[in-house]
Amino acid sequence: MKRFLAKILVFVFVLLVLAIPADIILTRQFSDTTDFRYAVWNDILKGGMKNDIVVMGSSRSWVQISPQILDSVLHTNTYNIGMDGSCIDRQIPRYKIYRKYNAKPKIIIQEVGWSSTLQYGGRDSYLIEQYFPYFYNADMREMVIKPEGFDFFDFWMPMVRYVRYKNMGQILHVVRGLSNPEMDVKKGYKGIEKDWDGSHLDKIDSIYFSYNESSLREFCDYLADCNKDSVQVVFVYPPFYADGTQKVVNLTEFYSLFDSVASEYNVRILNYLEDEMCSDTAYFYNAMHLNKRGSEKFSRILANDLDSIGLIEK
Amino acid sequence: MLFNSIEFLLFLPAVFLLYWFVFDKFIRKSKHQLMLQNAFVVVASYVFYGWWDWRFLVLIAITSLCSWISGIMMQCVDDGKAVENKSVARKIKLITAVTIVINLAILATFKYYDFFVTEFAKLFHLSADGVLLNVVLPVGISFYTFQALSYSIDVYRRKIDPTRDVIAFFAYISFFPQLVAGPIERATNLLPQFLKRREFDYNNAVDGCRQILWGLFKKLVVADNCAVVVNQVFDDYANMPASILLVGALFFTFQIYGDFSGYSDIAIGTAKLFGIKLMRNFNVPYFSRDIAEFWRRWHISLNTWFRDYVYIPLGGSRTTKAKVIRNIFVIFLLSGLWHGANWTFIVWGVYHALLFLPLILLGRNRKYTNVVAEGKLLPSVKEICMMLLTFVLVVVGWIIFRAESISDVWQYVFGLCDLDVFYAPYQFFVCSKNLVGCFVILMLVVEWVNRTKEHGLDIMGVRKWWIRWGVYFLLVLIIVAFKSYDSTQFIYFQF
Repeated sequence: MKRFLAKILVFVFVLLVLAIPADIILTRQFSDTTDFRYAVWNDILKGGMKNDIVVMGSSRSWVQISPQILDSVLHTNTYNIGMDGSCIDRQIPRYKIYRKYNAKPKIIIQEVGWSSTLQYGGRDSYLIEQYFPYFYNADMREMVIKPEGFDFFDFWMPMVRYVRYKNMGQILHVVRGLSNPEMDVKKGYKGIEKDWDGSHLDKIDSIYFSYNESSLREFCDYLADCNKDSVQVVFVYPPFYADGTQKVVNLTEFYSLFDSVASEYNVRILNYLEDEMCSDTAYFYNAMHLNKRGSEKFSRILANDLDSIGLIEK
Repeated sequence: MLFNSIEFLLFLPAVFLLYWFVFDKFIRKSKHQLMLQNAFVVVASYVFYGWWDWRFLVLIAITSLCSWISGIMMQCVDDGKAVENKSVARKIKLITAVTIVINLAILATFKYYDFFVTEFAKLFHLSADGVLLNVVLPVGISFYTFQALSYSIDVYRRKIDPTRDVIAFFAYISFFPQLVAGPIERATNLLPQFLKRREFDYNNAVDGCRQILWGLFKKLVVADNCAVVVNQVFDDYANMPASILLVGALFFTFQIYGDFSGYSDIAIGTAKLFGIKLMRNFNVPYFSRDIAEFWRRWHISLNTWFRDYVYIPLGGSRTTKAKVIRNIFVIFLLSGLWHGANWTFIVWGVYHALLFLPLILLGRNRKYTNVVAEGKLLPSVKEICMMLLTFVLVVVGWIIFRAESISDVWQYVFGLCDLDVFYAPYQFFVCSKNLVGCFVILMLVVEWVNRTKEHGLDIMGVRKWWIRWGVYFLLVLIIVAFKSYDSTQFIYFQF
């Protein structure tokens, strides 16, 4: 028995000895990248940013609102912390980390869409690998990673998180992709140079707007905190291809919910769902995302509108 | 609790250490040592099973209790002269029959009731709404029910003495490594092991670890990676070219083998750690030269169960030809039905019965009882042809087994009958998917090399320790690097 246990311990020990440096090496790979999954987290955690405007939302803010264009029109500092494939349940923890490490913004541009107040988080969800390099950061652990449902083993066993939800082949694929310029972001924004593809929209008969109660509560709490913090929030409904918007069966419910939230928390709404851009596929790469050309045009329109409503002190 | 979960990674060492150090060493002097150790096995097994749904623990407990009481009752009625005393024999028969009916009734209620009611309603154009139970199928119910039946029948046949040790009996029914997906143990093999003190055997334990490692490779790397491709193909088979359908069918063939034999390897390996020897469940079935040999090598514990408790009592092959045909159809139909309440399983059973029948009628069903190419590195051309033919027949069977309905089977098979089946499906093998084929080949090569051994990673005979350890680390590396993150439950849990 002793011999058996000794051999098992040696086997486990060797595995651990190999896993610890593997974890450190792998984690370091992510710390200095411009890849969209990690670059924004790295900038946020480096700290010290003093941005006047922070853009928040899903991929519909990440690929659609260019901080550079906003800055050129408004003469401000803007950073886009939009997260691909996220709802408010992921966006708010990212903002809280941003707020902890960086100066308070004056304005938050909050992208809002049909799925903003749903819940998409969880250990098995899309782009979960974006958190893996930050398990050593106590703030990230408490405020961002734990709510995703990671457990003791993920936090304290080297390499477990990397191999439990993905396999090493996939992780190495991500590492190889870190140097892919197509994935680079600048100030959190990435214009996508793609042409229109309506095949996905064709398959959809209807879109139903719904929301998750706890996500909505979390959203309202966040707006209340912004009010307390004297941060002005602006809701932006970015362009959505018109044929897609027509498929939303309960658009009035969407408007009425966010109208009431906006009025309760003193939030301005900028609605581009009926902008003329929405009927031109030249500006979109799919129904819900503007391509680079569209995003640059939209960013200019948005900047001018923000300028005209006088929220920016000059 | 899944064998491939972090929870089990904690559970197994904890149970192992308590089993050998607390319930064996420290209380060795106690006269209740064996009872306490068995009680610990029961508690651990119930925790393991209750991890899914604790409510179903009641079912296992009822099944166990019924079978144990029936044994005690048979012992009380039997004065040792039951053969001569017709009234005693009748009572024992009645007790056995009641136990079988109770066990089968539980199984039928949870597994078959809704299916038969729906089909009956369809037949007579009635509505089944309101009479359906819509209950969740308890994990592994077919496995432990058959194990309980094996005890009652063996006691009735006087192959085993009924046990008065209720805890040992509960441990026999619920022993966690094989509780949810087999091997379906016989009372004659497993129960006596709980009635005597287990000794720790170093070689056995090390071999158990090897077998667990091999089982994890087959499940996580082969089966789960195959499953990604298989699900893609079977979910959209109507829009897939024939070559892709062929890939889907082949990959399902290896998925089901990797999944189920992987589970069996982990179960048998885990049992070895506790000083328990379980029966072998798979013996390189895809290296079979005919269907009869395939069925001697595939899910051995279930097939021998049907052979011993259904086929032979019906007369087996030593009766008239008409009855032999009937017997073959009965066991294959039951085997199909055992897998689930769906026409596809029944047709799968009939398909195999039709393949098996010519062999048994011509008296060729036991032609190949040894391992193919024994003592040789490679098989002869004739053997290769025979193995390929058997393999193709088995693959067709798996299409029936995997399809959702009979009409899906037809459409899938018709889809395969197209000239583009000969075009290589390049577009399908992108990214890591092409590695799946490599893992399948690796599994087949390793199992071919070790086909005469107890399991694929039986490398006890390799003298150089660093080679053995190198193999262990390499396997761990392959599992970590290439396991599918779309990890699925073991297929056989649903049965």
